[in-house]
Amino acid sequence: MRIKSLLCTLAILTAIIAGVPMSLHPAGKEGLLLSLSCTSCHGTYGLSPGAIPTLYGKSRKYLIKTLIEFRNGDRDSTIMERIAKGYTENDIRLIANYFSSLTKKKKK
Amino acid sequence: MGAFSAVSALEAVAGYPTPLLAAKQQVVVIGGGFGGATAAKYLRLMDSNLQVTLVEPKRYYYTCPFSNLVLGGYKDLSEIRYGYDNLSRYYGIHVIQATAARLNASSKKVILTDGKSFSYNRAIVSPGVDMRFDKMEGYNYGIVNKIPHAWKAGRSTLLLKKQLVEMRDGGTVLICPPDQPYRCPPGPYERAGLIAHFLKQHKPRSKILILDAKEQFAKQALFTSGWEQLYGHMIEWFPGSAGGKILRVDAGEMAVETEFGIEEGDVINFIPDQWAGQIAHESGLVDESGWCPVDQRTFESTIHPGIHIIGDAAIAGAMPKSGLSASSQAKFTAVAVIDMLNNKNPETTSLANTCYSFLAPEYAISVASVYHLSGSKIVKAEGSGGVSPINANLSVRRAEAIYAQGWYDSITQDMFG
Repeated sequence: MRIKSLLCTLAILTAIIAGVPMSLHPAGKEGLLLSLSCTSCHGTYGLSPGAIPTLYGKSRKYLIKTLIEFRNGDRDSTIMERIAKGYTENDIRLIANYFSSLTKKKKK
Repeated sequence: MGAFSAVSALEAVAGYPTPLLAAKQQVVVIGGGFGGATAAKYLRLMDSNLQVTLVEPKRYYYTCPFSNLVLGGYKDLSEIRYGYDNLSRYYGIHVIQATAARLNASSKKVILTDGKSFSYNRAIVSPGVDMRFDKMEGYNYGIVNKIPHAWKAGRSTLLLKKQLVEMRDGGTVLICPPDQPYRCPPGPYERAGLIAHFLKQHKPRSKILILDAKEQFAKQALFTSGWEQLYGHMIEWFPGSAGGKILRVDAGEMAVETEFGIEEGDVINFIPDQWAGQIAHESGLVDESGWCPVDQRTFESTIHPGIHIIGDAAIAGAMPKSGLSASSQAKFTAVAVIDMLNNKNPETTSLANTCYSFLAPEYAISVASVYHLSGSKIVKAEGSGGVSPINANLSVRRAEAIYAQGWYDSITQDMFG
């Protein structure tokens, strides 16, 4: 557990150092703002230290597909169906843009 | 006030030279729990030019979420303990271990109990709740060692745990939940299940009576069917109208008086009614309800501008008083504060809450919702939200227990990591 949280801290530091301030992220502020609710359960920047899936750097296509399926009740879940129903398709696209734009490599 | 009064918190603590910081905007965050720690971190993540000071009296924070698992014998108190080192080391937050006595909104100053003070451009106050020792006959601060509320995790949790360990087999545990509104609506019922989990293993002839001020409670159908499945008739719940309403607490006789008579308890967990934490009262941030009215678009006090109140103490529309509500509000408010410091119209976004409750270490249920602004009020997003299905099998309950632990690992990392 300690090693995991250390790795996570390191990963976040990498993100901070390599990236621009969160609010100036190239994927746009709207997606970042929507993502703030996700990160309370999925970890800062979507980097989860535990059983909740990581969102950081996941592909845009995968995130959109999964969230739409949750929203329509077409994918098994515990709580994600109840949460995804609170977002429009446009919200989902913005959230997917944000998390898919995060990578561990420094962007030019 | 003395020489400290005009000096910034950072200078006071770290001795940095003034010119370096003269142009920086100061945000002070009062309280280092789910709201405050998250707000401090996200302010710095979103604007590294801000000078952020976090004032928190305690060296370690014990999370209320998962403290019921300590009572159930499934977690140790050390597993729910967090410090503030990462926030200062990795995020450049100036953590001051001190008690803030009050804020002066007109001079924009925080006054500490030791008399020192410092200035801010905007303040975020996340004071949590205080127990009301003025409302129930026979209940006062002097009896908390005999009748611990354990509604703030830490020493009180251990005290209640010790009483459960020392109780005779065949004893009665009284749990007396407060009236609305209070911190963590499903908390008393999670507690009942986890205490039952402990008693079933070690003192199986014992009983738990829940004497409730209310007529119904959060996730009620899920709790009652789960309790029966897991613990038979060990837990009995009495609503206010059926003998649950308490008129008097008698610590000497270890009993409570209800409208239906006297109930004796070998262990009594009376959880008092609550209101906003003390600094909110001292700073004139509460209304007649004892809670803090805010502009729900920014969480700025409607009484004192420049001060934002988040978490349990705030009147936050449809959102319940929970750790995740506070975390979500903290980020939402950090965005608003940064916009307002830059003289921009605050951008708003959605908010969310998820509360997991355990009925046993491998059996959990949840409630989740997304919230957004409708005009100037926070409302539940239509179509979102709800509780776990009532007819789910044990594998679903077990999956929720795994995700509850995952939630805890994530949110504590998001606050303190």
